[in-house]
Amino acid sequence: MRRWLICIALLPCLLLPACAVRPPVEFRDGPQVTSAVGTYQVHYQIPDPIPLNEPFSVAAWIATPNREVDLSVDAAMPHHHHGMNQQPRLRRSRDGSYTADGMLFHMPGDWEIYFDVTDGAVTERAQISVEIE
Amino acid sequence: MMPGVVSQPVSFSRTQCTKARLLLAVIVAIGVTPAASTQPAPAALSAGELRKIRQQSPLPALRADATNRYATHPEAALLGQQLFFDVRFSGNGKVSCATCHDPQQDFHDGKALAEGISTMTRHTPSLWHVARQRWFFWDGRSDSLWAQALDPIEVPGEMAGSRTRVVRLLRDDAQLRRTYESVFGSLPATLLAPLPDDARPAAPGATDELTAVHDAAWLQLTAAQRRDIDRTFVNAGKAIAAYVRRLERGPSPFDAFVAALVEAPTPNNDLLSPSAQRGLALFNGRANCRSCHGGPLFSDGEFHDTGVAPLNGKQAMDAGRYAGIQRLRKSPFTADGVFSDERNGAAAQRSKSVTQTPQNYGRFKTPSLRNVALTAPYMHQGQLPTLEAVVRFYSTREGALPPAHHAETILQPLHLSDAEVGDLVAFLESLTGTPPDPALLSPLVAGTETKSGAGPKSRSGGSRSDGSGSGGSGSGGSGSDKPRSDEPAPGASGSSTPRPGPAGINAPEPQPDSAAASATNESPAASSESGDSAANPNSADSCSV
Repeated sequence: MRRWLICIALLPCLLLPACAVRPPVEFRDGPQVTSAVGTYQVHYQIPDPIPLNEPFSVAAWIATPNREVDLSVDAAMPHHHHGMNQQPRLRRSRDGSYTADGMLFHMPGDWEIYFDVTDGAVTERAQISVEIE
Repeated sequence: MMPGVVSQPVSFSRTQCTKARLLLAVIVAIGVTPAASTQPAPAALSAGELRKIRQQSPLPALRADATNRYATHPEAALLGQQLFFDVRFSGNGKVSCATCHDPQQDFHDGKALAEGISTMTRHTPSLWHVARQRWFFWDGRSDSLWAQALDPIEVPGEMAGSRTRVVRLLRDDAQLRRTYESVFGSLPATLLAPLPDDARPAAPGATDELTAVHDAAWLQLTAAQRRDIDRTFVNAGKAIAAYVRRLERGPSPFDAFVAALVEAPTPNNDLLSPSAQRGLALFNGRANCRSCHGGPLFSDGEFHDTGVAPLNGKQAMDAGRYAGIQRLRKSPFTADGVFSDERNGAAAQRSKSVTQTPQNYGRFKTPSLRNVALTAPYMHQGQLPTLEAVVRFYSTREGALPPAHHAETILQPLHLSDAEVGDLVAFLESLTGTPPDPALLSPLVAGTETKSGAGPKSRSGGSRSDGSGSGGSGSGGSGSDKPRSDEPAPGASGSSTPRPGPAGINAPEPQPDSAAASATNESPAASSESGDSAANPNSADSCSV
């Protein structure tokens, strides 16, 4: 009987491997975005509001199906056809989350933040839009 | 009426009407018409408008420059002010920093193109508030104010001097040497031996004859001499930066207007004219000037291609930011380099992470618009003579180069009316701040005319010999010029009694340089300085920052 109960309890995790790992506490109630094909769920933290023309950081945690992936974070102004003038520096914490330091939106307007998740030769993008006043 | 302004129906009580009649009677009786009577009544601004306006004022306290531990050192600023006006650093003895950055012309020269020893290819911008920038020069090839100060000294077309010329002057002019050593410590023994008049490493790509001569002399020096010359040269740059850092004007009418808005969100026509207020609404609204000229400095501090045609009418050939990044990466004088006092700070990280893309080609730094009415002509080659011409250029785009694939797509004709052009100009004119302490605008000691006649005055009297120097107590220096334990801490008044200086020099800054105070005592001179530290290619660039 006990063995059956354990199996039933683990069943959801077998069906939804992406949920096998819970995000760190600071990401659990925060925003998240799904990558383009739906493979990844990116939990993220951004300042509110994002400061104009001041450096800031973006934190992210990716729900992955128990495998190592690479993340890069970047941003651009789609209407202006340009991105940031600095490449953010990415660091990884022990809890598996990432922090991109050195983000800087030098102009007001519409920006997109890109979370590019790479697994082997395949890169999948999750992105969010923000307006900087 | 300004966009976003909502008109409110107005009604008056009998008492108010009586008071108004009485007031009118008084006005008629004394024959005075209030200026506001012909102006539209002030109305409340929208929350969005207020948020944008409050981003633009006041200017925050000047941030510390952790790459320069002497940035707020009073005596370093004193020395820097002397050096700024000294023509003896130039190859012909006639050009100083103040030649192009003339204090009597708001620290620029009023010319389209800078004129040092020869005419350069870019316009001299003003130095007001320059310490607030993150990149220096039109192309951002320097990432610190002290590094910027070094560059023009060795450019053949600007000052045609050299780092040994600077070192020799600091060594042989007794007064300069006293001041220098009170701040930076004794000159190292290696510099007390004879030094060539001019020696410097050739900058990458430099092919001119003068550079070849200077480079040959540089190679004759010992490695220890080159190391100590570089360190002393950098210290001179840090002293100049300490002075230039103080070149700030006070609040402008626009700042007063915004300060009043913080108290009550009703625009005050006495502080900012209705025309300037309409210009402000355009600036932050339909004209969208704030897209690049945002923030309290009215600049995003970055680089854009405005499409303004070059002076010679040909296709733009100046690579602008693209070459600026290349030069930054080759320079030994950077925020993350061995001469920086904080090699892993924000400025260093910024330089390490700057992105080089083809889109940077032909882009130039967005200038600050504070005090812009004082600094005509405009653009990176002074192509446009007046503020009105600038506004009309952006309004019509007439004369702009055809958009390249990397042009700013947001620059579209604005189709402003003549009145709107005037309103924008009125607003820009409201950004002129109050003048600084006059003591900052001239050399420290009057009566010592320079060789340039009407140019800036400088101190004189130091020996020009190549010998062992003119006195001083610096013989047998340690070779390391980091602050000694018995030296004044950066930002302090110094262990030696400072000579009386202008009020602007000895006055403490609003925000002490805490980062400098906490700087490490690491001696960059003891680290891996190569001695081959050519910073500036022999390009026909201007000394503009």
